[in-house]
Amino acid sequence: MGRHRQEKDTTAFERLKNKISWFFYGLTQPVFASLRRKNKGKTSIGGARRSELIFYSLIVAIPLIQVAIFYIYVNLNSFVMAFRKYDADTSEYIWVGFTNLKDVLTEIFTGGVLQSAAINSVLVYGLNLCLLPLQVFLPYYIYKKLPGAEFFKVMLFLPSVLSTMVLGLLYISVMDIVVPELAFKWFDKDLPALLSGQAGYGRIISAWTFSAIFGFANVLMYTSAMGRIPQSIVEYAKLDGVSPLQEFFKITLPLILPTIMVYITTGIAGIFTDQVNLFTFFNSGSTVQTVGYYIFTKTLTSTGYQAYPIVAATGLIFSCVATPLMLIVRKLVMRYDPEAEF
Amino acid sequence: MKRDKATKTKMNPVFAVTLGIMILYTTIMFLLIGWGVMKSLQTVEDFVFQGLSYSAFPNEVGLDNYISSFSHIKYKDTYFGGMFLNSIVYAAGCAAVSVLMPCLIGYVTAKIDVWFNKILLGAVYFSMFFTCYGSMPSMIQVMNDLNLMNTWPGLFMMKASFLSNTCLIFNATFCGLSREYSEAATIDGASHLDVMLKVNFPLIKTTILVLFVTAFITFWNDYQTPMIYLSDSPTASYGLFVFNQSTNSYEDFLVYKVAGFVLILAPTFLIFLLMKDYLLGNLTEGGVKG
Repeated sequence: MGRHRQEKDTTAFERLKNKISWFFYGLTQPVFASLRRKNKGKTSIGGARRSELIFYSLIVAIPLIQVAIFYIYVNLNSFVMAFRKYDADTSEYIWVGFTNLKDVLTEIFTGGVLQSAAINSVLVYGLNLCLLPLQVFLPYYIYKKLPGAEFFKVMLFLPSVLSTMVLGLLYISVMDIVVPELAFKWFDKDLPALLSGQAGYGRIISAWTFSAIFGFANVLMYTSAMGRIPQSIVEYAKLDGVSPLQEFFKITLPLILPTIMVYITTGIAGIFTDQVNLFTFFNSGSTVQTVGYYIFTKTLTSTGYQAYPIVAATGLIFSCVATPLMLIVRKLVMRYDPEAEF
Repeated sequence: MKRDKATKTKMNPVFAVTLGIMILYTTIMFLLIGWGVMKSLQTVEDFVFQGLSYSAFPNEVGLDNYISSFSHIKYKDTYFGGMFLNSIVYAAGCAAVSVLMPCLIGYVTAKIDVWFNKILLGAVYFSMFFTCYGSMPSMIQVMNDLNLMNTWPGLFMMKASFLSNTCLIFNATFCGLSREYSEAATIDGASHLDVMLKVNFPLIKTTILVLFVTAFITFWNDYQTPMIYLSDSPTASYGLFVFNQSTNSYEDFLVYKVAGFVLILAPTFLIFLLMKDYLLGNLTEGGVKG
């Protein structure tokens, strides 16, 4: 009996003890839980972000070092080089201020090689712009899937795969030797070499003809832009009785205008780098030059670092012309941007 | 198919003129390449027998010129075979680094949200709009100062730039990928590198392949860069260009030279045939797709 009572008391004591401990446990749990949540939040998310940033830094480090050396430093060095002169005796550069720039500007404004090179470069860009209507209409033919469209698409793309140098050397052989040989054989006519035999603008235009013929690969970017025009727009227009030509001028052309504008704007950046394949045709011996050809051959034929400062100064002057020109043209063409999203 | 029929356009005079221009263009292409292939197949004896005529059709054809060109075309102690190997190393190496770097930057800028992304992508746009002409002398000087001139690693380092249009293509492609795959892999315990290499890169392998092939073709055809920065290890394009310039007076070399031209055109043409659908499909369907 006494034992039974003792057991009962113990149970009551145990129950009370349990109740107290559960009460305190109940009190501490929210505190611990909130602490755990806080700590968990801090350690796992913070740790993940930290490891993400470490990964980011490791990935970005090497490309940044590359750009720092081969883009930023090279261009800064080129800028500084334009104000220096190479002294062959001491093998060191000496500061000459604006002398190089003055020499280059004198050559440009007094009818030197650089003046004709600059005129030729602008002429080539102008001729490229003249081709623009054709460059836009050829892709339209492919886009409308007219006879032979797939075949012509392949043929237009082919020059971007094949070596321009090889095609250029084949072109000069045919123009300089094969065509005059055939003219003599078939018509008993003495023709001069059609490329090397030209001088002045004739040579530039002959060289440009090759670039124009084999530069048609670029036109496929317009096919790409046309391919993105929603079919529903075209079909609505057809229901309204729009002819293919009206469709081209009223729907296709306005919608691909941004692509054309990109071509015009980026074309300006290429004005003073375009060699029109003159180096391929004539090595470094062409008397007719473009700015791109001048810079390349002057660097290539320089004795040591001798000609480098003049090349750097030439580059600096033409950069100062091209960059603002590109920004102005960009601003102008942006006015005509239809801002259509499709 | 139904859509094709519905959108079929009838021929009109303007389209006929366009067709005429394209036929003319195609004819010029065929004549030029056809002439090259024809002359490359003509035997040397036949070429001499026909009075070194550039326009005559060959009486005897064979593949001997292609074989002989490997022993005839030589520049700086390197024969044409060696030049071909150099071309493969140059084109593959430069294409790899010039695709890898933009791919890495395109990936991190698309997948990791950091303020520095604006600077990285801004630098790409800046380099596209701001052209610094005449920096080649400076580059040559830097390469010389770093003892990287005429070395393969130097050339690869120079070409390993992310400042190109390719970076923007990769950025757009990675932005278009769903994050679900990456998140699932992360929950399974994959590291950031695993997520990048084993989840995201395989998802855009077609884009990587197309851009690599395009870059490979560009570098294969490039002869001016090796001419300046790798003159001691001539590539096929560079070696043949110099060989062509230096042997203009030797008429009997024409067939070897032209055989060399055809051999240079062959690999890129084969690649084009194999990857035509990828290259043209991506081009005409609006950008490179994954």
